[in-house]
Amino acid sequence: MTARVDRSRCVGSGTCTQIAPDLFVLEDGTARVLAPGEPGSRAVRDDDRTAADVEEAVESCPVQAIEGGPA
Amino acid sequence: MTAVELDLFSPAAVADPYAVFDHLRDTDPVHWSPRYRSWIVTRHADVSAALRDARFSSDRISPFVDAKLSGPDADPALRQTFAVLADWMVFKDPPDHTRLRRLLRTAFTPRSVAALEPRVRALSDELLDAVAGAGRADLVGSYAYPLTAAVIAEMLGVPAADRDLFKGWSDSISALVFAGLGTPERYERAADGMLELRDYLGDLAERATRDPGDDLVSALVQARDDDDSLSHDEVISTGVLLLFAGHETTTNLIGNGLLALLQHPDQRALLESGEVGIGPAIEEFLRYDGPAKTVVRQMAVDVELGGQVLRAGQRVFLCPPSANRDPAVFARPGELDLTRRENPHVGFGFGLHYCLGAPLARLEAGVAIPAVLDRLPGLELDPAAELSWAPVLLSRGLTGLPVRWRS
Repeated sequence: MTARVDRSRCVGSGTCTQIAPDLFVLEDGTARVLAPGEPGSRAVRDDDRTAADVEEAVESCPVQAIEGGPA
Repeated sequence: MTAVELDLFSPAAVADPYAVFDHLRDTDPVHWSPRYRSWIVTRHADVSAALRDARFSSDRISPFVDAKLSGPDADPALRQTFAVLADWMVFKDPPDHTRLRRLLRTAFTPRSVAALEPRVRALSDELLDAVAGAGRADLVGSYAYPLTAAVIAEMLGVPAADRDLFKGWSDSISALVFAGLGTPERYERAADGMLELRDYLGDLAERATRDPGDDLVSALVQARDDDDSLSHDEVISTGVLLLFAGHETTTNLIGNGLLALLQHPDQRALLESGEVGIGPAIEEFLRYDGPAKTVVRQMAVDVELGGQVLRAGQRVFLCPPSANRDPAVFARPGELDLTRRENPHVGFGFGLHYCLGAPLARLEAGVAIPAVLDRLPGLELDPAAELSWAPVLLSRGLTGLPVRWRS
């Protein structure tokens, strides 16, 4: 499972970074997806836990700036 | 503006803050106001930079409580009142803010909120049924205000019979939080109202502990997140915050939005014909004349902003309405244009304190505004009435919206 953040929509509420701090990070006030291998980044992403976290982030984002996708 | 002292409470500035903001933005965008002992920040770039910068601290109540309300002479009612405010997450920085907000997050996701739409619609219909035959009404006092109060009261789990009690209490909190032109007596009355509300919510929380329902107070009581939970006092404080935040500001979004439409028949026609959807229209209402007039921060450390040095401990007023009419970001910023594609307004703020209730406010306004246009044919401003704005610093809202229609 992977995710994409539309940074032009993102308002930096930190919702996704609270749900999964090892998948999302706030940078200069807006969120982006941590690349695999970055420090603090989640290594395994093809599991149910990641799918659930991404789904929660997609649904919780107050401005619907996150899209989920296949790994 | 540097020669003439800035007065945001002058009748002219209360009626039209935009002239003051335009002038400040052009001449002194990070302005020190001796009158308010605060910086006034008016450019979009500076406001949005400050909103996402942790050095602009939100923890501005506890220093006040420590300095003014901790001595032996401090008024006990006022001290208890501010103790309630001090637990509000809007006055917290991380990690306290993160903890409180995380516990509320699921209640305010776009999906959770969408489930409320039928109730919002039913409440809106009920209120419009009550006035439709009259041909005239104050749409703030008899529609927007009771609608938003009923929605948040239902969400909190307040029985319908007790809902009228909430109006008086909500007024009390507004007086305290919005720093209006208050007298000491008014402050004391407001403090009394706040304590009544605190006790009421305390009872509600105890009931929810014994017999939890499908409401927000029950959710707060049961909230468990990584073994964390809210204390009894935090449940009450958060309930007060939700009542207040869910009520006043959404009322003003609906009131200001309706006024903007009534003053711009061409734009209203775009909405009524379906050429523009209510979604983008609401974003434009938030930009053009949104409910948040200033957002207060306190400097945690010295920071340079727009060529000025803001010193640790100094207060800062960030002005979203000014940012939202910054010509550096918005073409024809003074025009209501429901067809704008890009609309990066900061009407709901930006950053970690971005309005938690934004999806709910969007839903309520998205139901309430079209319902008025549908149900009240030939709607227009009452030509005999004069509009007046609440003389408060933090919010922008009408004291009433007198209208008439064919009945």
